[in-house]
Amino acid sequence: MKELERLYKEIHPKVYAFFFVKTFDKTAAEDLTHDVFYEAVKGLHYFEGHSTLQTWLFSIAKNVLKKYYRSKKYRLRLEKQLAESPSPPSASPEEVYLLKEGTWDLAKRIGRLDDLSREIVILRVYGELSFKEIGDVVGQSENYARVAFHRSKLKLQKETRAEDE
Amino acid sequence: MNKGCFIAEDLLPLYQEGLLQPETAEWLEEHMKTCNGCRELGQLLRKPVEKETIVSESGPDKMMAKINFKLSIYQIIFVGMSFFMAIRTSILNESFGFILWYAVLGAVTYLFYRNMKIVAVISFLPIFLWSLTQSAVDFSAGRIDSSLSAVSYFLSSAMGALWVAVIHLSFALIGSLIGALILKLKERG
Repeated sequence: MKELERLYKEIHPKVYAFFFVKTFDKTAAEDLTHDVFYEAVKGLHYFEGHSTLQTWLFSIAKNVLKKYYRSKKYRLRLEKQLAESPSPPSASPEEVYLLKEGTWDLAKRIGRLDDLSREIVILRVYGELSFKEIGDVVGQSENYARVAFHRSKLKLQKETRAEDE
Repeated sequence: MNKGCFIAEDLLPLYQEGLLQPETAEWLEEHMKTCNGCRELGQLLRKPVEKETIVSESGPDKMMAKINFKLSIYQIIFVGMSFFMAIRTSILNESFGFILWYAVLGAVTYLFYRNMKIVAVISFLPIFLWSLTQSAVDFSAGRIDSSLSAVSYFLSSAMGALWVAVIHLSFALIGSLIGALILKLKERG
């Protein structure tokens, strides 16, 4: 049990970062992370050890996110955001600052990639998964994840360079 | 950009991870010495992605404590329900219909935990323990025929408790099967 809790603690920030980059909403990210670990603790007997614990948690995370996008909560949050625009979403002072300063450049540029590449890049950069684990989560081979990641990374790096110049 | 550049570009991800055979890596390095474009690509790939640090405010400890608390509350509720029903059963000895509530208990606990083993423990143990204590109370109150020795009395009452608990357990398991069916149907939409 201790071992499991240590692992959970290690994976927790990655899952949180994953959700934050997907939603740009602190409260939503906290809630969704909580849901993932709640499901995991309750349904531990479902984990059969075919994959790593991390892969399993991230596949739960993917399902939780899907459910969230379909939920009423998400729609209400969107409506609220639209009503409040142009101010940025979930505005705690330091977040407003960060958004103004454009620190979320990378996350935003990742958002413009195509669906599968975006998933792979987010899992790699913010989830810190291995290519093998990413392949398991998105249903592709390890090598597919590796090559797709490097291609997308190259694209992102080129964009950054173009912006810097 | 010639054919070599395309090949080099495809190889770069593998080169980066050190997965190329030495000969191929040598060729690639040779190529990058002569080709400016590919050299730049290689440098770009080597640079790590600079990401923002994202830190959760509440942190994992608080979250895990909350989760464990929530789950133990549910557990207490289920076990309490099971005990309550065990006590009811012994009071309403004649009304056999009450055992059907065990199917309900089984279905509810299965829908929550999705695990037959937990359902079995939750429905079996309370009624087993309750029947045992009932017999013990009867014995200490001296309501039992004194011709039986204490050991044989406890053996037979343990067998009786086991029997009662197994019957109730089987109803709970039927209930959890119904729960599993409900889940299956829901999955199919």
